[in-house]
Amino acid sequence: MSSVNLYINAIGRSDADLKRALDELTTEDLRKQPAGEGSNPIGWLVWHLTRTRDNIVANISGGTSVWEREGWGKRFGMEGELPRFTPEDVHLFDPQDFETLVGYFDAVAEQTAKVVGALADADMDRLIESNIPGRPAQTITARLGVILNDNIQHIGQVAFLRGLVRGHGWY
Amino acid sequence: MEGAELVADALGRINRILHRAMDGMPAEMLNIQPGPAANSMSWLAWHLCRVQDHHTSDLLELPQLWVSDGWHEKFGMTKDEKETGTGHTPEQVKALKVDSADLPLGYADAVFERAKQYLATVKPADLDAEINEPQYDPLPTVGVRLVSVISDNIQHAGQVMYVRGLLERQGWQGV
Repeated sequence: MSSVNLYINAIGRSDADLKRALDELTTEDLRKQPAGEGSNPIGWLVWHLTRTRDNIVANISGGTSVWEREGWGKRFGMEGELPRFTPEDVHLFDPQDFETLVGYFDAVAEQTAKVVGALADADMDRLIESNIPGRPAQTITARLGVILNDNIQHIGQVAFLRGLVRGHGWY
Repeated sequence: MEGAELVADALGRINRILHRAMDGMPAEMLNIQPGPAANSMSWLAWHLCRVQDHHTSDLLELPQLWVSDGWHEKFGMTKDEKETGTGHTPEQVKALKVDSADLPLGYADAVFERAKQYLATVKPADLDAEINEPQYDPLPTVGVRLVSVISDNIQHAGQVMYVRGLLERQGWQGV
């Protein structure tokens, strides 16, 4: 198994867990904050992990994000520059509905498979400029490491929250 | 970075997350279940280490540290290599309590050390070796097994962090 395949497998496996965790939840469940108004609800976590992944994949491919290219900002009512999320912003965040939230996730997952699938192990040490001004260039390994480590933690959090809002026995 | 290094890097991050979330935390906080039947930080850390110990030891064809180094005794549990927490009832989750963060973190350090030593010996071609588990079709490879360990462990580490944040927000800070 090449390093590239290892990433693809780990992300694919976790994405399947995410889909299972979202199965049969209601739109209302996406907004529940069982730890209080400052805590991250399922909807925000899914949006955040998708948006982060989208940016990283765009950074690796040298293209634009799915968010920009396909006009997802408009569908989420979030056009223009995104805020640095305060607890208040998280509380007010509107995940829309499953069609929108999962639609965006699926579009990014597809783009991820395309871009990462086209990489060879020899590409992994290549430096890429950050798409955030002022951030240093990083290797593709480091960028994919964020998807692997940060994104998958959030997927675990979604699964945990499902247990909190729906009770034991779903897993 | 080769596949095995990548896995070692991910496991290192998981170990650091556990230390960051749990070092010096009072045991009663680690044992809190943040909802009826929800998993505590103690249970989550224990379970992710059990998964790591189980699979790493299996790949090394060694007895698990859980039994060979007496970790089961330190946790007050039976000498059972199959006990990883998967499928635990709410009663079993509730029953898992630690007296100090040193216990789960000690076990975490021990299993990570073993995993690191093992991964340092794994060559890229080794990742494609099949594991003789005929209950699976196709047979899993070493790479597939390692992917399942990191995918599981990273998710649980994320849950530990979430519970830590959740307890802080509910006013447990500084307890």
